[in-house]
Amino acid sequence: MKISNILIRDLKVLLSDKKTLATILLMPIILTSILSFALSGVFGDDPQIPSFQVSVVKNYESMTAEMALDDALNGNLFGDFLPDETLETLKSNASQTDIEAIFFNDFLGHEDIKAMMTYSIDTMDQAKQKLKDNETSAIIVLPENFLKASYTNMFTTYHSGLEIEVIRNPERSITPSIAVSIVEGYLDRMAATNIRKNIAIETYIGQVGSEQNQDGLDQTIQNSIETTMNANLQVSFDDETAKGQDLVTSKSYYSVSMLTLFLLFSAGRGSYMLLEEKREFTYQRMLTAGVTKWKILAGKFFVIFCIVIIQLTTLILFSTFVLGVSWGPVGQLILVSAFTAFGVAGLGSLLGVITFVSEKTRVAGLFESVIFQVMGLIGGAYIPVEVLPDEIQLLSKIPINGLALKAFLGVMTGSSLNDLTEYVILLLANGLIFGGIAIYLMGRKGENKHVSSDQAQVVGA
Amino acid sequence: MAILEVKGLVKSYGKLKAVDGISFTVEEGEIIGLLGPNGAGKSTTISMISTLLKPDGGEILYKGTDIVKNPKSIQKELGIVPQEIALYPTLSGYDNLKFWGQAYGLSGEKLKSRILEVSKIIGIDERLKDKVDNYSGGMKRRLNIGAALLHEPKLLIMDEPTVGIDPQSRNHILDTVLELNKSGMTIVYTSHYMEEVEYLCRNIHIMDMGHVIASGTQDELVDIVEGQRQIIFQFESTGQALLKDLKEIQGVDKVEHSDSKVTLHTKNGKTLIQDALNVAMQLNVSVESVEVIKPNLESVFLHLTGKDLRD
Repeated sequence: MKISNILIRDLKVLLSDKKTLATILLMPIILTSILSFALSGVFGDDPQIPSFQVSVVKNYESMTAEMALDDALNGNLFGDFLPDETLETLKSNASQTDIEAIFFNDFLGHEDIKAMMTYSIDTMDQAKQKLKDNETSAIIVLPENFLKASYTNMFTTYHSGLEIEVIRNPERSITPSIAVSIVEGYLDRMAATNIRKNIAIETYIGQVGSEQNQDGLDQTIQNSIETTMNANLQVSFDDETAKGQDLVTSKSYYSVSMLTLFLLFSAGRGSYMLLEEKREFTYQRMLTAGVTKWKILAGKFFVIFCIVIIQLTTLILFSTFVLGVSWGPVGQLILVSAFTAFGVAGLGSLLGVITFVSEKTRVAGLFESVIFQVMGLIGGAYIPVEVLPDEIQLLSKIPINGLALKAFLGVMTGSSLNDLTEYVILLLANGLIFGGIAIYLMGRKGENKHVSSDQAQVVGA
Repeated sequence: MAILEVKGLVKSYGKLKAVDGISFTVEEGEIIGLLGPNGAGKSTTISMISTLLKPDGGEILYKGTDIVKNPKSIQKELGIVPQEIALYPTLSGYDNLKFWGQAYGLSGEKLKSRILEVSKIIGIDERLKDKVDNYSGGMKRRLNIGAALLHEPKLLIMDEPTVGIDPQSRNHILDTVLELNKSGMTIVYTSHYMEEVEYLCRNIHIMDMGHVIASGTQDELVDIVEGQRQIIFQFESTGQALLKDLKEIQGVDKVEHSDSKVTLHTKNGKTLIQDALNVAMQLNVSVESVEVIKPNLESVFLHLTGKDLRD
């Protein structure tokens, strides 16, 4: 009998089993679809955040830059240190700086911010009513010292505390947090401006001297503020990856991770096959026909290989055409797929022999219900290993699904053949080692036993 | 000419001897029966003949060749019908026959023609495309037999092939066995159904506890119980006086009773019935029925082991 006869028979048996088809094909398709949409926020996907509105409440009085600087510099060392001419120039420059314009136009009015968050200026009562009516995600309260503190921090060496309160809408979960982040971003930017300005002043004074050439100080302050503000006002959501590789989106990640996880279940399904044959007495019947146990084992190895290839092909086609995932160069994809199938076939054969020798299906069940889940977690099936503790990240290359995941992600992100070689060799080694142990165990413990009910009664007597 | 010789076969599982020194010979073209209760060692013996198990002792010769040393000498000429339905239930009958034909080295047109021939012999030719899962128990049993016939074996071993099926399917299988034998196939038939062995086999080996406890033709085996008969009376009622008088009838070896049923063991049937009826009339006890049981293989087994075949 040819091994191909056993292979074709086993394929027919497996493909006629609806439960098996559901486990190895339908389940990963469903889970990939659910997880890739549900967890898109974890990845660098295009933002899918709904636009939302906030209320801005001005709790401050109008104040010009001159008034603010007069207030801030009057009677202190910095004011006394500056010559009147320089002070006037500084006030003049400050007057050209419109804090409200920076906050409302340059910052909140930036295109990228507007795409997410729009604002309306309200009184506190109006804002609270909107919050109550669930018409706004948050109230941004600009404090009484908003202008004075801003000018002081920008144009003097003094620091004035500036706290912008954000009142969240408790009925909304994500957008209030985004509003908080945006306000924090503004405050961070202002703090950065302050630091830069102070450094510039100290450097200038240190280089030029305390009594001379103060004329250039106002220009120095102005330059540092403009440079910092311009540099930090850029708001960008562009993603860049290392080495010029492509970005991994949630759809592509979960297409790979679910695929590699459910490859284990192909190995698991294969692990039942030898024992099933033994229990159905087809194994013994083949032996009486002169079919060796090695041919039977080889048949199981190749049927798992073929099932994995079918599984890979189906899921890759699904994710490509339905989810729009790009799997990378076809040649590399075929290479990694073939070696992955080889490794999984080796694992499935080993599990099959262990189950066969132990004569207990719960051995295979243990792998499916516990060990595969652990392998899935360590191998990054559920969440990317990068967010797991360092120790687990180290372990992630041990399970075959983890190796396959890294190899497929490598193909996806445009890794070179050299970069993939490590994974391909490890997948090959997995197949050879698992297959080798399976052959050893089968040779040592897989004796021919024919236990019929008749005989079982004798043995059990 | 002996096609199969089993000599002093021994097989143990731990301390338990499942087969303990069994010997028998199978002549070419005959049907022999291995009769015995569950646990007698029949399946273990068959497993050794079919090369699945290596004996601990003794030898098995197929056409004079030791099959332990040379298992291939028997494998391609042997058809095995296991007690279990050793088929693939999710495949069609055709796919099953095709696979088992391939297992025995058949291919191409030869395989196709044999599948059609065998499916007609076993009477499933009109259901070949159906999944085995959808077959009745009897059809599965017949397909189980068919899978062993594809390569036209010289020796067919059938291990309890009628377990758990309806009488109609059983008759079909028994007739098939006779037809196969008529075509020249040698058959070893194991069963714990005495009627089947009586119907099919001329030579019978009765097994128990790993031993062959009696061998011979059916007549030779029945002679072991020396013409022992049982006459079973169903009385309206029984009492000590009736049992005492029945025991005193000349020729009665033993009296057993259960409720109003009384069994007389005797070698003398006809006159004893009249004597027993006279006793009942004298004691004014009505007789509701009388049954005479002639010795059979069940009686032989009971006589030899003290227990029923189905125990």
